[in-house]
Amino acid sequence: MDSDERFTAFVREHTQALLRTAYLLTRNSGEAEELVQDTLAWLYPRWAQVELADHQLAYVRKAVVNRYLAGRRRLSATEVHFDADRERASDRPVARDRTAEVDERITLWATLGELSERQRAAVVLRFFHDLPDDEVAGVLECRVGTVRSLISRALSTLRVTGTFADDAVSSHYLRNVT
Amino acid sequence: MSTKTLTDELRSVLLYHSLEAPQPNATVDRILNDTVGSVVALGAANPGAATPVAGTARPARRVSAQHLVAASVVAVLLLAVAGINSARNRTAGERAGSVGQRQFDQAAPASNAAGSTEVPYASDSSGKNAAAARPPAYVGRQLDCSKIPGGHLIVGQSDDFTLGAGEPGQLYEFLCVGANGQRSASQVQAFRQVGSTLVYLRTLVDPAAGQHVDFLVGGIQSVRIQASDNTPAAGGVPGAVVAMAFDISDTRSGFSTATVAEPCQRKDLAAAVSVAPQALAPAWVLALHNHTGTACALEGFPRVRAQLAGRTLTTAVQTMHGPAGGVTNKPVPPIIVLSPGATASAIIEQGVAVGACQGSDQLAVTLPTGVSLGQVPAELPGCGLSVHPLVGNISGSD
Repeated sequence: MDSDERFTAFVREHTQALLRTAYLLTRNSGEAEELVQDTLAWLYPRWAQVELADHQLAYVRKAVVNRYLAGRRRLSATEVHFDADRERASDRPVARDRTAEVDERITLWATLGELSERQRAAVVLRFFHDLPDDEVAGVLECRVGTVRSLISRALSTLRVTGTFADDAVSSHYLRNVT
Repeated sequence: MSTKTLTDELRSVLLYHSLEAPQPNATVDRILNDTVGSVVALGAANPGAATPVAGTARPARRVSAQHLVAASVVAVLLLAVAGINSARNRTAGERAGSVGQRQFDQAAPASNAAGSTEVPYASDSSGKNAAAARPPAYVGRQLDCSKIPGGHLIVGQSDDFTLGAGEPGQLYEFLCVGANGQRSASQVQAFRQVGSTLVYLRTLVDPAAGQHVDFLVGGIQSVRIQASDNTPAAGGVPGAVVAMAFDISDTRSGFSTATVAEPCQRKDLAAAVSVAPQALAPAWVLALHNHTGTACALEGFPRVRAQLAGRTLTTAVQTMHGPAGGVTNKPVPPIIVLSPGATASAIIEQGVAVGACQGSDQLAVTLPTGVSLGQVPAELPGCGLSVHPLVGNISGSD
């Protein structure tokens, strides 16, 4: 199997998973597709380097996250940014007659969209991918303490969306608010 | 005191929304087209790869603001097209494209439940169900159709999905239906397709949950099911419509649910009764208008009583259809998610064999959930009335 075939196999096997990560970061289907497409197109000529990694999917996921964060920094003020999902979340009427649980989940998703990009990336990596703090730090290229600070601030913001039972994980981070 | 934790809720919300990510086929093809080049040859070598979706091709290069707007509009349109509602209306032609490659087990469907299995009913997605012309034998014993008068097992909704390694899978809803729209809860089972055989994989919706499937959509390593909730004992809200997302992959197994619409309440609806135009029998349309800003759910027969000066003259008999219309395309009442500003309706008609009787001055209306809407001014005959299920339009017929 040559390099092209291995790249093709990787794309076919992992694009779904990468799109899910990208969607949770961008909250927009079009942007998620573009993010994954651009990242893999950029990595293609560097695929030999990817193949040296212990975990290729983790390597590519890191590239997706960093490209997302870098893209957000580069986003020009003159660019039109059409983000239907966020509009829907913010425009959605608050359904007071629904159960508290539904309200909380809607609000939780909407509030996730209001986190900073780095906070959201840290939350997605920690709670969707179940990565430990040190691996999140490796993806975000920052110190473990910074990751804990990002997550603790994110959880502090998200906690006000509802009434939640105590749990050791969030307590661990919330104790580390700096 | 809440028993759920923030991190559990966070994981659940992330998992649920991750399943909203776009399907990868078009993106895979674009990536390969822009890199290794020969997507057609590669696609041909991999029968699991789907053809690109028409209209989604997008250059890989950086886009201008105008392109971004255009692409975003396309993406939004695709979201709308690929969303829940469009899943119900997948065209027969689209479906036929994938059906042609299937080879189902040709054995006649069998059943462990009481009664016999019939061909799938033509729901909103007649093309979808064409794919299930040879459904598998019902695997399970939870559905007991003998509990329903005239009950027998049928195959309801069906769709395909893809397992982690690209293997095809099939989803089937089984349920018992009775002679007059009575029904059991749904059971949804997933099957792995191995060659020409369907092998039972797992049950996604158990009858004990008391849910009626509205529709189901298979994806790549994922399944989304929308259903009404009918068993308060299972923790649901009776009459609510919920969306469930299942993550079915080799490395991760998960489930998440969210409420699509709560059951309609008295404060949500405005009721009116009018004469049914051009009906073949004396008939009236009971219209229920959602005047709120939130969708609500309806399913089943309204209970209507013709009254005169507050005294009930007759209670309409609940039947699926009659000469004036009703539900004729399904064996069970439809599940309605009534959007803000939308109207659901039901036909009330008088039996042809009934003679003259005292007339009513109002109609007492009760929703299928038992919620009373109070009285609506209506001059109807006070005898021989029948009422048909609520449908999601203003005509009273499906």
